[in-house]
Amino acid sequence: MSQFRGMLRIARVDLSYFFRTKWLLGTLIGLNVTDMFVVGIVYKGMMSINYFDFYAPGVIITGLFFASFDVGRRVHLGLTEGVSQYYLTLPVSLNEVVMAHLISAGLGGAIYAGILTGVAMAFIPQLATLSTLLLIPFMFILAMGLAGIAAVLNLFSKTGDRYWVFADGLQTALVSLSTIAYPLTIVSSYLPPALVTFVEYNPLSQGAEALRTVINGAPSSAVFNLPALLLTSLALLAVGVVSYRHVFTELRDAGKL
Amino acid sequence: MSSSSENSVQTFNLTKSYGEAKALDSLTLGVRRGEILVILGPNGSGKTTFLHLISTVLRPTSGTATVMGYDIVKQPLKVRESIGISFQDPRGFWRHKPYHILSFHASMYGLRGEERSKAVEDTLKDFELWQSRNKRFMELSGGQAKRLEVAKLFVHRPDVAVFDEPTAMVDLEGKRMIWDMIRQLREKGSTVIVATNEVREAEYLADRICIMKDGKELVMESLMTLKDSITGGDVVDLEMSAPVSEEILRAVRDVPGTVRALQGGERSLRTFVNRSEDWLPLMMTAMQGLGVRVSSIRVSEPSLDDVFLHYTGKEVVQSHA
Repeated sequence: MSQFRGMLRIARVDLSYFFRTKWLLGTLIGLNVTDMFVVGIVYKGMMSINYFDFYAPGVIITGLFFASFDVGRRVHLGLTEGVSQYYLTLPVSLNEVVMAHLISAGLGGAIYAGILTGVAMAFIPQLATLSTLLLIPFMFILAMGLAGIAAVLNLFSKTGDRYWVFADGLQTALVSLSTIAYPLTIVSSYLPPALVTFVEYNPLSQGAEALRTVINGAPSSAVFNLPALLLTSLALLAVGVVSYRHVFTELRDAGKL
Repeated sequence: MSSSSENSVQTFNLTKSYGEAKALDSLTLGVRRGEILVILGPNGSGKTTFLHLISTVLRPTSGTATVMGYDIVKQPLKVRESIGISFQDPRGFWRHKPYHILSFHASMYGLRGEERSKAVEDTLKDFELWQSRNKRFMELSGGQAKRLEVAKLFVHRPDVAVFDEPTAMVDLEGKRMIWDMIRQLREKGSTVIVATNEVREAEYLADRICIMKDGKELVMESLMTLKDSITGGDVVDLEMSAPVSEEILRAVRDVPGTVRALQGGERSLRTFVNRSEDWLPLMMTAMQGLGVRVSSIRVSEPSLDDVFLHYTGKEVVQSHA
């Protein structure tokens, strides 16, 4: 029980570092909200669909992705500044240190997405429903899963430069190859079938579609999307666990990553 | 633990290799309960590796160790409950503040509520960090960050407290304060292990000193025993009533226990001897036999510097000569 508490304390300290980096948080929120309003409102007049209602969930999920992905930056800092070694001396197991980082990523993503959802609610009243609340645990698991991708980057990026390049490239690719900005019908007419399948199963698409289902007032179809969302997230989470286990085991064996 | 039940830490052929290079080579040693063991060694001698291994930061390549009877390989969690390490480089996220860093550390060892607040406040005050408690870690000076790193162990007072160069980057006044705090920690029941390459620190703190080189223990004894153990360790300066002749020089060199004798000035001699208390009467008899009066005798003991240089490869006489 005390070990479990220790794990949650590490998660809280790690999460607090994300929210303490105020310039990062301010810039992210500023960019996401600006994106939501400028792109959403401008495109609203150019598209046959209500583009603001379509795009806002996409921005919320993008925010969740960026916030959960920040765990990779924190782990990288922890490894280079020796904080990870310090964690390994505390009375918690290696698995609990791993889970603490992934839980912190999940909470960071869910809280950040919650803030953006709060902003969007002012303009999309359909979001202010019980269904949105019910989605929160799924968003938490989605954020933990997305953090698994950051964990893979931590595993392969020994230097800070490489980490930032990989992270930027991966974030751009995952957001571009999703239904964050365009409906699947449009995407499928421009991309080869293999990439369309990727877009469909991209967890960012699944998260955005779940929120859109809530906006469109069909909670049953939101539930319909959830198993795929859950499965993909859990698979990525498992990858994250394995990757971070490897990162910290290597740290204990080699003294550095 | 049977044979090593007196020991808080016991290593058994503890080895850590990085590829072909052995950072620690089959180290077997015991650290007694309630003592301050100072590990002295040149850079790269394996001091930090040893501390990281017993703190479970690193995993041994072969061999093992016990901390308070718990095996570092098989029972790392139990070991972590018993040991605390203060790293050579202060560890903390740049934006966290001293109060939160210590509070987090205390909470990880089960301190709650009022008890935790009091422990954190007292420790910050003891280490003269209270005024800086709300500064961010990155805003602390090198000395403050180092004191904060050391202070972590005083919040929860582990059974085994491990300090890696605890006063590096700290000013003279701060060094004395940290040394006194480390002694207090021992008085309150902790076993203390300090790795350093500062001889003064070792002399001030050590119950026993372990000298390491190339990942191996060269010697582990009390300071006095170490000083007595080196050949030609006592330096005796003599002033004669007559000019030092070849005959006098030869007579001094022939006294049992003389390692080296050098002419200092016209009437002075510097000698390097074993056990000056036994050597002096023999030397006086020899001088009387030559009809030479010794007008002044000054004996100095070897310093830990001399011991260190002796065991790490240089003759102590060279450092005096």
